[in-house]
Amino acid sequence: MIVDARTIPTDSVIETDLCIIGAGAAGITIASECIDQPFQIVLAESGGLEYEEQTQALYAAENVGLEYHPQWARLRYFGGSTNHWGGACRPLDPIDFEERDWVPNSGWPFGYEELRPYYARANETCRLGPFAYSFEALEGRKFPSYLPGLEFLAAKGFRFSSTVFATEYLKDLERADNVKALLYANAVDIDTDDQQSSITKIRIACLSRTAFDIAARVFILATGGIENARLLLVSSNRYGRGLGNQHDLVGRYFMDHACFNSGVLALRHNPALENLYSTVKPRYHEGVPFEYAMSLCDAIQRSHGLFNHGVWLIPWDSANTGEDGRNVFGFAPYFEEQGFVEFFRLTNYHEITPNPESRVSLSTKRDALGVNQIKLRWLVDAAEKENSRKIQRTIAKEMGRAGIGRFRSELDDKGGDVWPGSCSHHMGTTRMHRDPKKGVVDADCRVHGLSNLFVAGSSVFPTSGFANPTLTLVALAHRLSDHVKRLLT
Amino acid sequence: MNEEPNLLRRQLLAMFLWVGPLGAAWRARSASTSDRSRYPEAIAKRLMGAFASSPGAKEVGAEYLQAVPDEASVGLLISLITANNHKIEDSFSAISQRGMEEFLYGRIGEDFATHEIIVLRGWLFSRTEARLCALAHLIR
Repeated sequence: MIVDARTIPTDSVIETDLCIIGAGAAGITIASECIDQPFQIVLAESGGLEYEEQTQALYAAENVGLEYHPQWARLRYFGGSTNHWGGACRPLDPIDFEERDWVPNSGWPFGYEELRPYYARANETCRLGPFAYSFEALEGRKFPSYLPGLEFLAAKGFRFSSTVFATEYLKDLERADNVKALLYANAVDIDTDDQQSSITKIRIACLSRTAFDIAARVFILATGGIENARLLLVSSNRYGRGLGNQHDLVGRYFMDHACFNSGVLALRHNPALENLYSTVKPRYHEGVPFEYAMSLCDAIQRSHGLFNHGVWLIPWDSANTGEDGRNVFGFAPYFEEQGFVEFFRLTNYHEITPNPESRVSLSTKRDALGVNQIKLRWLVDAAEKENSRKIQRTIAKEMGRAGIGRFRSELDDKGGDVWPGSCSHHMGTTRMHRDPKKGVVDADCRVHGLSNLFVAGSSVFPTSGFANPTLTLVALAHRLSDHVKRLLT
Repeated sequence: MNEEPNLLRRQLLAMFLWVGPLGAAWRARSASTSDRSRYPEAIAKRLMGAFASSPGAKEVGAEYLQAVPDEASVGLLISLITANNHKIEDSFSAISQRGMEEFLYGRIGEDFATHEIIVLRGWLFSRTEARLCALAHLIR
């Protein structure tokens, strides 16, 4: 059932079993998983079924860090940011889950294998066809055994979803007897019992000035990588510093992937390499578009202390205006003589380490509902930039060592403030850790110290890897939905 | 695939394989480094022929010598390229083409592995590779 929250009487209380705040990828996944379960669900969404300026304005934010546009990177209506996402999906790598001594604050409470079955379900939820991301699964042969000399690289597949969650799942949710989806319902405060050990209700406000409460047995915040922290921080009536924030962790460790072009690679022509290039003409695997990013292999990441990263080889002509790369960067005759005749721009997504000073906090400015806006400080420090340079140098070195190509770095040409750009992947602000002093939520995504409040979405990621976060956050949503089903049945 | 590294090897050999052309003459009068240092002009003349078809290498070489002017000497470059490996230097004529390929290709690969790299117009070159190009530039 779909309900316009503006029609609900002010100061009424809606009672349910499960209350999910936010109808984006995570919230819709959990609600859909719970259809036909023997409990009632309320799914509260801030927006309506279409984009509306007034609702989107609730995302207005103060930015005090690197250049960032948090108000435009997200969409505040049913379906959330899947209404404009690019659809790039890939699971995190096993190494991303590990505690790595060269990545401060790294380590998930569980490994890749724990999430593997949920990734398969997430793949289905995102309509991505078979769970095939390795070169072997996509090509039917192992990488790089057919490409001697390339052992230093790993080919990492991305599949592209065209699923808009609202379109895909709205009808099912509308028909479900146990689901009530509220539109125009903004969560503005969370209240606890007197012992401050469980949540009793969440206050909902509409821009029409209607306001009411939702009381439930279990609550899930699924409002996105920034808003989850915001909602906990503004719910400060009893705690002063916000809910779940006894250790001043909520909003900290904000991460995005560092996105930048790093340089030009001149390679020998090799038909066997063509599968690895990103081209304007997508390749398909069982009807789903896919492409590869390249990474230095785990062994090199470990031995060199490198953060995880994906590098896309974009053929020069498709990345630019048709200008010949050989003429742009010089030494054209030499490269011609040496057989380095194919030019690529390297586009990078790099893991950025969890940094407590990179954070979401509350601004003194307030939105139309009287809720504090967020103040965002995204930081990428000098050591992280140096790690990115080191990755480029290592790629250049390995390419040269193997006689495969030559590399021209652009990073040293760029001023310190020009790179990296953000990818609009908001992660880490309610990070997961077994220890309440090191994380906001536990391994079940439950807020430490609160028996019935859970967080869904990329805000729980302790580290980011380099893959786009949606597949992982949907996998975590499946895992959380199983947990909640056990709690409520 | 195996032919591709060989392309580089052949290019580099074209710069270095005055061994073959010099052949017996070299054996007769350059069995030692002191001999070699006495005849840099002769070596240079033979090299000129080998590099005539390599204007690209000369361009890289000129850029390298602009960055490292102290190495603008044929004798010095040969020593640096061979890493003062007298065994190699003294027996150029006896080394097979394959042996020379392996030596030069190995040197370039080793340069990348040990970060013996020079940046020219943003491009990363092996020192050995750049010095071979410098040699090409000097002997025109």
